[in-house]
Amino acid sequence: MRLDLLVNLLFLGVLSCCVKQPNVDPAPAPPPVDVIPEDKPLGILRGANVTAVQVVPKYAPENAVAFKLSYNNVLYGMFTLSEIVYLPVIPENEKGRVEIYFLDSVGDPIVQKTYLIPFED
Amino acid sequence: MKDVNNNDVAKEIQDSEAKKIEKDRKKFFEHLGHLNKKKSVVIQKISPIWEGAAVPKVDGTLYDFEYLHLLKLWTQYGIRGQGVNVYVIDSGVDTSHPSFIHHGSSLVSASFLGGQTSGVDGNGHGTWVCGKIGGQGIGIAPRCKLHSLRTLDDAGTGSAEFTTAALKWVLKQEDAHLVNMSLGSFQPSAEQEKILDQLRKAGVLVVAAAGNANTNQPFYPAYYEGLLAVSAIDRREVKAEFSNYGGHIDISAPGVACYGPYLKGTFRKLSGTSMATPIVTGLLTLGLSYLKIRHPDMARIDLRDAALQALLSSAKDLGPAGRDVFFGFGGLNGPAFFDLLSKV
Repeated sequence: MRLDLLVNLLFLGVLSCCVKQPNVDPAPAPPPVDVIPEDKPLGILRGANVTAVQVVPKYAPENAVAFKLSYNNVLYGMFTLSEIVYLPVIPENEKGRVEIYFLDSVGDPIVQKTYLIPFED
Repeated sequence: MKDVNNNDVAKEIQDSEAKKIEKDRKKFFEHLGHLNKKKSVVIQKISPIWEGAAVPKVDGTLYDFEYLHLLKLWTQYGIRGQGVNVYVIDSGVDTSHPSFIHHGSSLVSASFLGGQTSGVDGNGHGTWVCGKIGGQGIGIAPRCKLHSLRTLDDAGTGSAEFTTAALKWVLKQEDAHLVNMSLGSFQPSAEQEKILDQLRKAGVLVVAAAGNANTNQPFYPAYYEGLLAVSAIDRREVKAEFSNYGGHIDISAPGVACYGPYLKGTFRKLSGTSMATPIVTGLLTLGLSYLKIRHPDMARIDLRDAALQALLSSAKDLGPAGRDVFFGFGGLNGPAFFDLLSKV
């Protein structure tokens, strides 16, 4: 074995001893989001591990740039208009209450809208 | 009798205060490299103060966002933390929480606890901290790249060795920008201090919680030189009654009844310097992201120094004039911070 290669291997050996190797847990992948229906204010996709919700732009007030969203009285946070909101799994026939607080560019509330899901046709 | 102009006197006082603040800032930067040799010890999460489970009230729940004028920063500057790598040394993260789904497989939680331990959070503390930095909807910089390094077990305890191993790991990452440490101990660790100094020299900014014992007794790692020590304030900008204090405090941030993600898809309002620290880290993430977009060739150490200088210079002076033991340079000021960054 060449001396320089041996030195490199020894060096790598020392490094791998010095730096503790962690155990790694990757996160689950997000579900794909379907086309948003044009006749509903919210696009909702139920995945195996999560439910994806998106506001349909034409149902948002003109000067809204963001919204706060709560589902069944739990606040999930503040989102920009185009963002997809991920909620825990909501079964197909479970009735729920989605509250959306639309905000203007400085974060002041414009209007609050409440939707009961699933939507009735 | 000498005629005294009130405006001149006011200006003189103002100039004097400005010089004092500038002197404090210079002193802070001069002290970035100082070291003290100490021994290794047990590290604990800084226990939060419970405020109850799910919060039905929406108005004011995200008051930390309002305090930072976060939506204005997001929309005016078009940044969400993209391009910045943040390492969170804590109790791991619950990657299945809805707040983290948008990260997909890029969010990795690594365990430094040894054996076959998982990086998944069984305590809740780390999930809250990660969420406040990079959670969607609930985080200040949701597009940053989060790296969770688990050094605390489900009870919220670990050792200085675990934390030091995690810091050594960060030292190897050439793309690391920020490290959040919402943990600590009243006993110092010489080895940890040495690694923290190496991180400083490499251009990585470590943000550490001051501790929740309402004391000025040294609490580590926040007490070490060369990192950013964070104290907590409430929504009235009054020092949180639990927050540690002392000459090492650099900045203060909201840390009372702050809302964030918790275990099993839930959310909780928690209080503590542990909560104030990721709010500082989150704002710095946005700032670094903005600088990186504007100056793509800027070296990591220059990015760090520019962001740090802007953060401290823009702080809203609270309490006694100038740097003080309770608030450091003052409270976070999001718009002023970005105003300074835009001039870099």
